[in-house]
Amino acid sequence: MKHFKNFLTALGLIALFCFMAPNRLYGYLDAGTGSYMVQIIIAFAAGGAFAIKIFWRRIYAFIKRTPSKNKDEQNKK
Amino acid sequence: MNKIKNSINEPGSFRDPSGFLFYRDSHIYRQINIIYKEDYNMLMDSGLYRALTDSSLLITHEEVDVSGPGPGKAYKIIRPEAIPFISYPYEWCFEQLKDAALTTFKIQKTAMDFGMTLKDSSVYNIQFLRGRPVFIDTLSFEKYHEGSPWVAYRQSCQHFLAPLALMCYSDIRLNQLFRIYMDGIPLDLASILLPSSTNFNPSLLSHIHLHAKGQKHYAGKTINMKSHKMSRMSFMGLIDNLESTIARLNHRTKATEWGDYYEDTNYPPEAIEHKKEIVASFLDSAGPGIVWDLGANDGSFSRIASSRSLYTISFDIDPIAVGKNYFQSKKNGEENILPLFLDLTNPSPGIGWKNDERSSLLKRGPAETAFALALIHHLAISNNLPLIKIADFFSLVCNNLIIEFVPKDDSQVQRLLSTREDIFPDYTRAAFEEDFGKYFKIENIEKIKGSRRTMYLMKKRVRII
Repeated sequence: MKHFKNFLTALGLIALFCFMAPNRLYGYLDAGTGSYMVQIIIAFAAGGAFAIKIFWRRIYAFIKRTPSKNKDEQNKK
Repeated sequence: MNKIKNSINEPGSFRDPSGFLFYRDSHIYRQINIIYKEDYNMLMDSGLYRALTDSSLLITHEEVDVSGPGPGKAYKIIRPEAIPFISYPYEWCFEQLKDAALTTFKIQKTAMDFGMTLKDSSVYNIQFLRGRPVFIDTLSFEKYHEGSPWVAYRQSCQHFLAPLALMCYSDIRLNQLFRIYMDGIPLDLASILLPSSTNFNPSLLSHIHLHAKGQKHYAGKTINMKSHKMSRMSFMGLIDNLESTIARLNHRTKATEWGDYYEDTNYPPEAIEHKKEIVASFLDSAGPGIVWDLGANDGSFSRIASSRSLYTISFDIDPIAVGKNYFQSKKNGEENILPLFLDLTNPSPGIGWKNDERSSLLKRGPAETAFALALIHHLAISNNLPLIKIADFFSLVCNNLIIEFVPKDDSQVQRLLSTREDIFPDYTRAAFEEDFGKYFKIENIEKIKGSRRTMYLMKKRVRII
């Protein structure tokens, strides 16, 4: 377990260095350098997952809508 | 413009230069500084304020024509809807903190639809109003700048995700860490306290464990500010991931001392019914005003007050009982009851800057009426508190007191004494009446049928200084 934790930590830190590229920050709070760097990496991954999530939701909504729409049209006839 | 005298600044509202809260003539106002003009106008004109207030996510306010305490900097003065009782995350149960977090993320997502974002994610921006969490900081919104990261990310992890994960996976009492750490739970501490199995949860691994490592790695380092941007999709993905991680956290209820209190009493059902009748009749004599039920358990007796449209704070020392109470209030859509955690032997102190940013329990009182039902024996015998000290404390927290005296020959008191020496020769009904009589005038006394217990209605004596 400890080795696995260290492995993941190392992986995370490598990823941190790969994506170091902050932008201007707005607001009165100090976002914290470490938090800022971590956020950039997590957001990169989460953004990809979010895009897939939206994509699948749209497909699901489309599939779900199509039969009921056909049914409605049949009922009207 | 009306000039109102004697303003007092709210001691917990000074960190954000956009404005501050102040009290005047028993009303609360917020000064909006000129520096925040653009963002405030955007909040109001974009439709975001309307969208959030229509869905009861944001506190409503009205713009008023009065001069603020800092007129040179003032753009506008607003009067937000008053919150009947301010509570803090170390007084909330798991579900209350979770609902506060989900409300914050819902607001953040709605704000993005209107081109705005939250510039902070403080747990103290949430209060409970009409049984639901509501965002109270009107000045927390700012224009979203495409490419910019979320400045409140660290705060959202420290104020919401870390304490909820700790309560869920380590111990439900760990929200008490808020009493020590004003700005949320430090992530390195959360990382140590969480079980190692949470490393297998990708969201907790990244937002807490790796986040803590990242903070340590970059501590004191200056980073090169390049023009790399965080896309809107990444921004939304981050918020969505935090929200869904929190939504999946569920506390597994374990048995606690008080969890099944009402199934484990020495009362016959008719005694409980008679006690409820006495409380209702005493409460009607005490008159209107806020009620504090001290030692409320699941809030059965609190509901006698809340059902009379009296705003009732239902305090208990057991976080599971508070959770049950909150669940019931949510399920029934009750608007006049607020279940909160409270250890009466160590009530919430004043914390933060000058011990004044978050008010102590006593500073948030007194209540018009307090209930102390089946409580006195726990204070006097389990906690060695002399009756005179208990009477003194109650005189500080309420104007009217509905209290139940549980005599020594009661089986519940005998149970408390079964494992310890009886060093309480003064725990008698006569001594109780004498000591409480120094602080209160006894207005009514009634025996509970089918039990050895007695109910009292007392009115606080006016102290002559």
